Amino acid sequence: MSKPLLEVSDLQVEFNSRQGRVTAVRGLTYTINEGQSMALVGESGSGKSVSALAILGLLPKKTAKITAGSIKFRGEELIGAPEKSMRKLRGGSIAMIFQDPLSSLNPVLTISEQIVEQIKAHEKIEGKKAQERAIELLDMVGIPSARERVKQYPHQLSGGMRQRAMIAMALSARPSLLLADEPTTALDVTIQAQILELLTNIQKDLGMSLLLITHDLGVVAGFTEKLTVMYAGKAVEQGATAEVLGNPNHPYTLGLLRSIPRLDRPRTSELRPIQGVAPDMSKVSVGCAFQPRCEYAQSKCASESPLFSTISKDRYAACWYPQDHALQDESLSK
Amino acid sequence: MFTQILRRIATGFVVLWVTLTVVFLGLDFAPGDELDVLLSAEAAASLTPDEMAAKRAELGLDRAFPIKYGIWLKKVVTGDLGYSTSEDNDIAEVLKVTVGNTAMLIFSALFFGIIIGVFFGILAAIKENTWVDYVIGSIPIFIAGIPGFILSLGLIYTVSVKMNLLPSGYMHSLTDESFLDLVKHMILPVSVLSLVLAAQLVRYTRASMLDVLSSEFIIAAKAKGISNRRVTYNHAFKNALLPVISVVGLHLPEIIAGAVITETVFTWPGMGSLAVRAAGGRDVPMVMGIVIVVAVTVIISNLITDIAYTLADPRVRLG
Ligand SMILES: Nc1ncnc2c1ncn2[C@@H]1O[C@H](COP(=O)(O)OP(=O)(O)OP(=O)(O)O)[C@@H](O)[C@H]1O
Ligand SMILES: [Mg+2]
Repeated sequence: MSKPLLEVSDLQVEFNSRQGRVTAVRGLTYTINEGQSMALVGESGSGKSVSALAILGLLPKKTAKITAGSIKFRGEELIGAPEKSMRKLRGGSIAMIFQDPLSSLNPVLTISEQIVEQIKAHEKIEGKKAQERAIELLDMVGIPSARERVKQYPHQLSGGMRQRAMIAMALSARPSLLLADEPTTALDVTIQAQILELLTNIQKDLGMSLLLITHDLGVVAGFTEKLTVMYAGKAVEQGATAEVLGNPNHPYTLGLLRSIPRLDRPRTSELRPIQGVAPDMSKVSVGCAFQPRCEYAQSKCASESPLFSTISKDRYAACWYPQDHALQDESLSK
Repeated sequence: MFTQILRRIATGFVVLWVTLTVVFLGLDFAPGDELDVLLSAEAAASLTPDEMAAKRAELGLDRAFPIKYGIWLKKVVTGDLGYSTSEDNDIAEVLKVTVGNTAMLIFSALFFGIIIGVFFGILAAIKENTWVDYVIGSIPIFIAGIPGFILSLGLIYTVSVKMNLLPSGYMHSLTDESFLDLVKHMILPVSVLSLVLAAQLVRYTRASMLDVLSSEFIIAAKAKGISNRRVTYNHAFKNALLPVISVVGLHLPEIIAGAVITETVFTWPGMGSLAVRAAGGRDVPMVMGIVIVVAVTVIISNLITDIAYTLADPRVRLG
């Protein structure tokens, strides 16, 4: 067994703004081992981005507060770690890429300037050499004529190329963990697949760990070893990706799988979207947060919150009445 | 990029031509003509109407309207703006001296105003919602609340009259023509002008900086592990400056207008004082000369703003 690299346990994050208090993350636990990849899936507003920013200590200082839990990287606690050591980690051992490459690249700096400054932040290196390294990195992520592209500004690149450039930048200091926050959401479907493939290839080639955040269960199949499903700020289900997709324990995961339109299913087979809406994150919930939308809910679900606990070997779920039916027609787990 | 700038220059010429035409119409409709300006009242009285008509023909004043317009335009383009009765001098000569004096004030005010405004604007944004921000935020409101001439008079009263530190007016002392003396005379009017400009810019810079600081590429920049200084100056500042460039450009006519008033209060021998004298002396050609200079200045400054913006923003520069 490889060693755990990132251990997040019972993370809770709260926002205090003029609009009121929002508990965005309400209990998130997972471990990513060295060289492992995990997908973090949940619908919009479930706290995925907030939990990723918490790892790097990049939550807005004035409004956000980590109220409980721990984040350990190589066994060292990151919550409350001094700014100086956090800065070393950021873009060094832990790199991050974002949803929209156009808005996460600086419009007035060239690709070269943006990659070089990151390289220089993490090692003593001559400008010329850093420049050469930037070109190599762009080459590696499949940007054609990298030597010319490196001198360009973000707006001169296509969406897919920008995301490749972001990835190149993230890889510049050879991180052991890459946090990818919905890296393909802003891209065309064909390019989405290319970028995901690039990410997983790089992850395997460099032996890097990967946290892939997405709201699309369809994306994770076949791309990550492990899967954590989040609902309303909480981890509700976790396990090996193939197993979770083939045999979901939590009714929410089951609902998500049933609501994905699929080309390989007969058109007559009905889509079953989850009824109801996600809860308001500014309210405190009693009982299971998914209970109002759950078709398997019983009276206990409304009053007591289920713990995130072992269901079977290496399978976790937060549910009083975990389901157990293998999905036949859903061949998401290839 | 070059076609863009060329198009701007062409537009500038069209605007200038329209201005000149309006000025010509103003001159043409004003009572009296060039001959009345050239001759003293007594000389005019001593001439017979026939002699007057002959002189008019000599000057081309009896021609048809379009021809007069053509003659006038040609003169203006070659720098001949006519003769000023109130200054008793060639208008172009008068303008050369006064425009220089005013430009001295305006450029100094732009220099200090932009530096002060941008510096404190950024400081306020970085220290958002602390006492530093509140203090920086309230001073501009205070300054914007006082009209420029009251501010000028207040400074003259305290600094010149009460404390006797600096001269209250003119460009030079009677006996002293040194550079240091000039600087002393400039301090008060330049202070007023730059304070008023800085007060505007502080607010814009702060807002622009806050806007940029909350954008995603700032979080992304922090995620790279670069220093906070670098995030603030290399990433945020460069972007925050873009709207500030536009604002300076938009405010230039206002700054020029402010200079006119400030000059008058400080009896600075520039365009402002000249305009007041020309208007008082009903010297229409002189006033029109000033209008032309102001128009040219505004056109040129808009052009400079465009070019500066184009150079600062690669999205505009490279399309
Ligand atoms: N800066 C902030 N101030 C206040 N509340 C915030 C802030 N950032 C996020 N939140 C709240 O935290 C919750 C979780 O947000 P988060 O961005 O983590 O969602 P997400 O799962 O990443 O969604 P998406 O798929 O849309 O990116 C949301 O309800 C949001 O309102
Ligand atoms: Mg998000």
